[in-house]
Amino acid sequence: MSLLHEYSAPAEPKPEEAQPKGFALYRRSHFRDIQTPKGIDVLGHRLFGHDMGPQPRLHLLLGQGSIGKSSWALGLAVAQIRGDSNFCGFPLNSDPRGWLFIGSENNAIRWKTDLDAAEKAMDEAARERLESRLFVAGVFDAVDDSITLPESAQRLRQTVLDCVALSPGPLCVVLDPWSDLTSDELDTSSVTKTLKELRAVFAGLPNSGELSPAVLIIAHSKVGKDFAAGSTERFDGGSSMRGNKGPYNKARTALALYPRDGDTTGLVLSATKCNDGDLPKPRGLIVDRSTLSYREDPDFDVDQYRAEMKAKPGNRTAAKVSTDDVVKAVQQGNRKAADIVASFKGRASTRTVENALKTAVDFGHLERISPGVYILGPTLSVKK
Amino acid sequence: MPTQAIKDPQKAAKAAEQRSQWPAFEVPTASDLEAIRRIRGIGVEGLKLAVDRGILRVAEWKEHPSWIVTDSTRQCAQARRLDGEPFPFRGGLKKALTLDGSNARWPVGAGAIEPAHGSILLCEGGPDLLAGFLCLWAEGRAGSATVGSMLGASASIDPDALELFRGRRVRIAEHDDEPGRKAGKRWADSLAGVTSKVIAIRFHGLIQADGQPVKDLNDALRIDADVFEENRELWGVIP
Repeated sequence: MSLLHEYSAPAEPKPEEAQPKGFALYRRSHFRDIQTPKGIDVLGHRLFGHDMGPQPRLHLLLGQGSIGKSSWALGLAVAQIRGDSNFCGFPLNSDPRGWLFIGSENNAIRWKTDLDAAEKAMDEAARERLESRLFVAGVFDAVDDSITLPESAQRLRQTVLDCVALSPGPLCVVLDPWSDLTSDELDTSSVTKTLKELRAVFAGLPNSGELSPAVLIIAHSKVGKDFAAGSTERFDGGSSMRGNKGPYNKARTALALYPRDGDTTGLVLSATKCNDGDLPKPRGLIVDRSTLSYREDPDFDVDQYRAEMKAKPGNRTAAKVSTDDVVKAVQQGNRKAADIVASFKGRASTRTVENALKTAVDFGHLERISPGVYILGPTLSVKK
Repeated sequence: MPTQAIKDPQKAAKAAEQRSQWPAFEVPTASDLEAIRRIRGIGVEGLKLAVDRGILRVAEWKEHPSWIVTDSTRQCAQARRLDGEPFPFRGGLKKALTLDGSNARWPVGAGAIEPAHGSILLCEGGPDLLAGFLCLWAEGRAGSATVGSMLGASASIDPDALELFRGRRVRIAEHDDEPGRKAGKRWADSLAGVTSKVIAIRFHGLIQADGQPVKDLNDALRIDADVFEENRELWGVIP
């Protein structure tokens, strides 16, 4: 009998039995060392996120393209890891949770840029926590890497399993964007199937006892001022989601980010759905892109914002300010344009008030004695 | 570089720190080689070949003069006492101690694979590694082949080491026990991706000169002459 034996080739696993590999997991240090090639402009910073509960439930962040949803979500993760007690006016818990970002939206250079910015506002201990608690799934290859369900369900699940094993605490998983998770965000059948697969991806994870992963899905919203205004109104929030509303219906929490008119560094964050508590009020955000920080703007007036969003060109019904109104404002002692505009805060947009002032000057009811300063005009002076 | 499962940088740093604490490994003296020959029954010519390849060294470990198997990568090292006695260890005794910080998945000897080495004998454990070098010398294959060894049956082969086996003929010298067979199959499965064919040499049914069964390659060096005659595969252990 021969002592030599040829090993039989390992049986080819059947497709359904194949163990797909999870996406590679990167730590913060991976992105620190990436060299940004000259000539590549890294744009697109803004925000998205909210206070994630420990429940294994879906949460939704809506926002129009390039508003900065991914950065906002990262800002949320960074704030939580840094130990901040508050993010955008929402309280943050302090448990040692890990954050896993799975997305096909941003490349490694974008991650480097955001993480470099986030680290500026961190001490050494926080940087170490960031290194140990933040994971980015490397979905960087446009050809081979897909997060679309159901095809990538096993790969996504393996990625989550890998991360659960590494995470020091319960996991928050950010999936970005929804339009890449589902094959057709307009088709009800496709969306339903995707949501079902998504549940399977996160079902029965090893640490799903008391604290299961919280899943935040980033999705695109419809664009337009009507939807921006609608996102701040309780009964109209869901309409801002682009495509099929399945994810919105399944989500426990839905947040929406919209820009502020004429303000490139500010955002408006509205909770349009909150199944587990009172619906928080919309809030303005002051964004510091240099440190990836987001804080609540104490001067934000949601009524004024809503009025500005509704005051579309041609929509005269939205204008609530007549020439008589601005004349009265001047008669009451408001001479500077800013003061006059402020006297209509919440009732009309800046542009509406400025238009009324211009009309009043044209009719001689007011006189502009220097840029931005008004007194009663000749017609009223004569009457007087 | 992402590998599938992230290598924990903290663990890697700790292992590197532990490896930096290893004692200096010395080239064995003639008396050291004689001691190993006497204990393991491995001819000095094979031991010298292992020394030349940087595989066999000596050092003081746990206060005992020991022989060490390692390679130039210093990924892994294992010590056995030169007096043949076991190490006192956590209230018990251990015949071999893998040095702290070792990568148990690293096949010792992989760091000595050269382009000219078209064949590799993959063994299990330190004594079989040295026995493999004796085969290498005895069969006149030192120039065209080399020997590697996993220091535990439970470990899988490190992916980085697997690449070093790419395109080479590999034979696995299995231990004749259940863990040994399972390990051989697992290593063969891993190697299937980098080599075209992996062959096992199994010692089941062979008898040593003292009548004891042959369990591994080291035992096979003490084989009964008649058995050696009958099993011509043993004339060419190296693939």
